[in-house]
Amino acid sequence: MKADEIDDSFVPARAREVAAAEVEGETVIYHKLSETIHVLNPSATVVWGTLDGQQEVRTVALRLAQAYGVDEQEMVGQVTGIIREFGRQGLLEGVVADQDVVREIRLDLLRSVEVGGEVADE
Amino acid sequence: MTPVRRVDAVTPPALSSCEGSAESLLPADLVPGIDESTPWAYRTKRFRILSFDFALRTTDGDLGRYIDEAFDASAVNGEPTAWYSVIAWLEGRYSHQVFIGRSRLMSASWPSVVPRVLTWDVNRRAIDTGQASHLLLHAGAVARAGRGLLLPGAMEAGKTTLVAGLLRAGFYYLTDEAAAIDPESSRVEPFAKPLSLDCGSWPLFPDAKPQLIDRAVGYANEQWQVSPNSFRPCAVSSSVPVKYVVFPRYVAGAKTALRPVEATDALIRLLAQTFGFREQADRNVTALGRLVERTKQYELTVGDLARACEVLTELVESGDGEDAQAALRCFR
Repeated sequence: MKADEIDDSFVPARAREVAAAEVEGETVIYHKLSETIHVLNPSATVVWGTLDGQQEVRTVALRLAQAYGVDEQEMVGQVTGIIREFGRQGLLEGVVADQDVVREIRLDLLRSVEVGGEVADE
Repeated sequence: MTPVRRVDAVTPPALSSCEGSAESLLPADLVPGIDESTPWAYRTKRFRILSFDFALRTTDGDLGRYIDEAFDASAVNGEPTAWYSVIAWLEGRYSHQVFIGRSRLMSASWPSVVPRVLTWDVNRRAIDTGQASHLLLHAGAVARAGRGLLLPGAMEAGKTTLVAGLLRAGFYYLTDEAAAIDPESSRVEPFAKPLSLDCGSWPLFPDAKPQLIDRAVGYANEQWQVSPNSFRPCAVSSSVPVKYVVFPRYVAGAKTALRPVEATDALIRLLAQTFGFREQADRNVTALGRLVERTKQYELTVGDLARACEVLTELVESGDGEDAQAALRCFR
């Protein structure tokens, strides 16, 4: 399945190849196969926390709409968009990652600044 | 705001301190091995770093005494599991043959390579065997007032120099290379290898010069292997909870300054400094998440060593509460 085909009847589950930790409301995810790192902002972290492989996107969205007092249709649209983004980045079981997105991530990784920047021995 | 973003690379950290010429690391085919008739002049004490324990025997007593002094902070009683053997002053191309057990570890063309490679190999084996039980970070670590301070950084980040400065400022030693963290409790345990001080740092720490160096000068003309106890007696800390993670960044001539780092950025930086990260990715990500949740994280631009040590002393002595902000204000 492609990420763009995800709709509100989809039942999302986290990919088995990921390891994740939540810190201060954000989530850092390491993908073991692509060796990419993904950071979820607080909204995406909330959605990520609901992915149990049992609930439809719509069910999750309606619960969140109720919890946060947000319009239901608006929340369904937002949650569907976030879950599609998870899918594009290879974070969902059974959803084919968008290779252009993954390639872009890997290219960015190659360009990324090394920890410490201009480090020199004292 | 993009809900999902990518950030940084996962490049496994590399161990410091195993330089020397490629030639010196080539195996020699035509030199004798070790046997019962080898005239050992010196046997060191037994040492243990995490779960790796070893001792060294050598035909050169000066080398043996130098290693004994350098590793004295990790000396333990009993018989070693692993023996390093060094045959010195061979005829011809190689000056030293180094073995572990009966396997040749290296053939050295000149003496100074020997302690460096020994220390590197001990680190490597201690890290390899310690990964099952510990989260191992490429980081210096010190303690003060029962609070652990991690200094993660890549090779050549100046970790050893900063750790040495902090020891001199009254901190206790845990490691200058590999911080061993309990994945559940986030306590850091001693990995008490000698500090490997490059010659560029020697003028900063003349008192740390190994006592036996004048007799064994050939073994230390590029790098000193320095016992933490040479800074003061009983300088090694026991296990302590990590309270602070500070990423040092040496910039010549820069103003020394401490600034907070966001938790997710800290986690990602730590992830890139985790030995064997991929092999136990699930455990390591979880353990790093716990570590970040339990600590405060900063980046320290180091322009002046003495000032950097003052900043870190103020930070750690300020405790866990809001007083930490005072340290930031003082040195901003």
